[in-house]
Amino acid sequence: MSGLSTAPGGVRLEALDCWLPGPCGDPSRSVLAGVRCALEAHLRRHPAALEGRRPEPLRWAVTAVDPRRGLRIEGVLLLTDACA
Amino acid sequence: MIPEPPPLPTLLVVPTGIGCSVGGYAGDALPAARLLAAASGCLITHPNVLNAAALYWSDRRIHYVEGWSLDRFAAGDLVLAPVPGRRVGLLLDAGMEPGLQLRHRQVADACRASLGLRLGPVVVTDAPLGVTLRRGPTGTSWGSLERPDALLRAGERLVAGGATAIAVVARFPDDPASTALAAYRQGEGVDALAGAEAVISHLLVRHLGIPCAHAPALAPLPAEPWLDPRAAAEELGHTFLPCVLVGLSRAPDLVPAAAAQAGQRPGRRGEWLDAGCIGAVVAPAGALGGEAVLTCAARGVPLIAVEGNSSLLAVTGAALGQPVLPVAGYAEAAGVVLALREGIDPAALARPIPPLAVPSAPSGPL
Repeated sequence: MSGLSTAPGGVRLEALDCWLPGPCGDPSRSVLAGVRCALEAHLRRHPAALEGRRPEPLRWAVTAVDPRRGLRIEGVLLLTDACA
Repeated sequence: MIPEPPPLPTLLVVPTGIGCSVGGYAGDALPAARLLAAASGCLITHPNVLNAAALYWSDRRIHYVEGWSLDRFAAGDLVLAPVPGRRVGLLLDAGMEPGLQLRHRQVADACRASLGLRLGPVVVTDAPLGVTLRRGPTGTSWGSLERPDALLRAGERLVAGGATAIAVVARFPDDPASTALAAYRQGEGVDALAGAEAVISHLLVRHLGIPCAHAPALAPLPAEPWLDPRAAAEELGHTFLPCVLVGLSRAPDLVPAAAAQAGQRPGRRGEWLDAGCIGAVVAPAGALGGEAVLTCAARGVPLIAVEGNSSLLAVTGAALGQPVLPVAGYAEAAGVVLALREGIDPAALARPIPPLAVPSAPSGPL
């Protein structure tokens, strides 16, 4: 089993919606690598991380591409106690 | 007799909750899945493609793999180990009315008696799950649970009781007068339930490491004279459960790649599927931003983009800077998969066919 807490409130779900840097045009770097790197950096700044919870994307996808804003990522975050 | 070429394991992805014109309703991508299974000899796809409520199609060439585990499989974290059958536990939301619970138990009994499925135990959650439905900023469907802890505890009880897969039935909010529901039934708009359904199954699979899938429990609707054929399968009976039980009954085991590598898992390893064997990915041309698709693209797996499957999104290969094999529809996609399986370059089937580029020679004496 994954170690998720089954205590009431041990697991919380939250919407994920953010804009991340778009494809940089570097053929040696995949879109996936760029998204993963940027998403990790985004989640390190999530308020839950400061509260001792570990935000993890349970589900995510690129839902829009904008030349100025980059890639829109929508999905669901799983927030768990850091000790779980 | 000419022997058949070996199967070309192919991933079919039709994202849920984004209003796909093929696959955004009640298992209406099943015909495409059947065709792709015939072309590839081995199709790996997720429940949204195969679930048609009271209707289903069982094909040993099709592997029923829940979305979260599909992403992990594509990433190389999980290996799929086909099984002849398994015991499917039934997880019922305490938020369901007694009459609805009874209907779902009777579906399980029918599948035992008439299909020979191994089902049980049955567990009711110790608190109502509290499903809520929402819309994302781009109009996609998503949802949440008030009590994810109750879902996880019920899942653990089922595993302790011998279940090796879990069919979840959660009570979803009724809104029979909603314009969104009317639009969906008439073949427009987005399946409002899809996002929450995905969250439920993702959570359980991540926690328990076994196949899981979901069927929503809803109050019956009055007959709709203008019902779109693509939505019709969901209005045949009292529940959406039969297809889930059939699909899960032969869903492959989810083996962590490290355990598979270390030989810690008994089984017929020659039949196992790992990410390295994926020969093609088929996805809607405007919905190429999902994790499994991007993972395969990063590995250089041919990406067949179906332009005839429109949705709310416009995340195309061109927008992502990702080369694709564009096809008009799933019939053409099956042709491309067959070409790849036979070792034929799909470019040779299109016109014009440019000559090979010859690099310009350096200037200087011959």
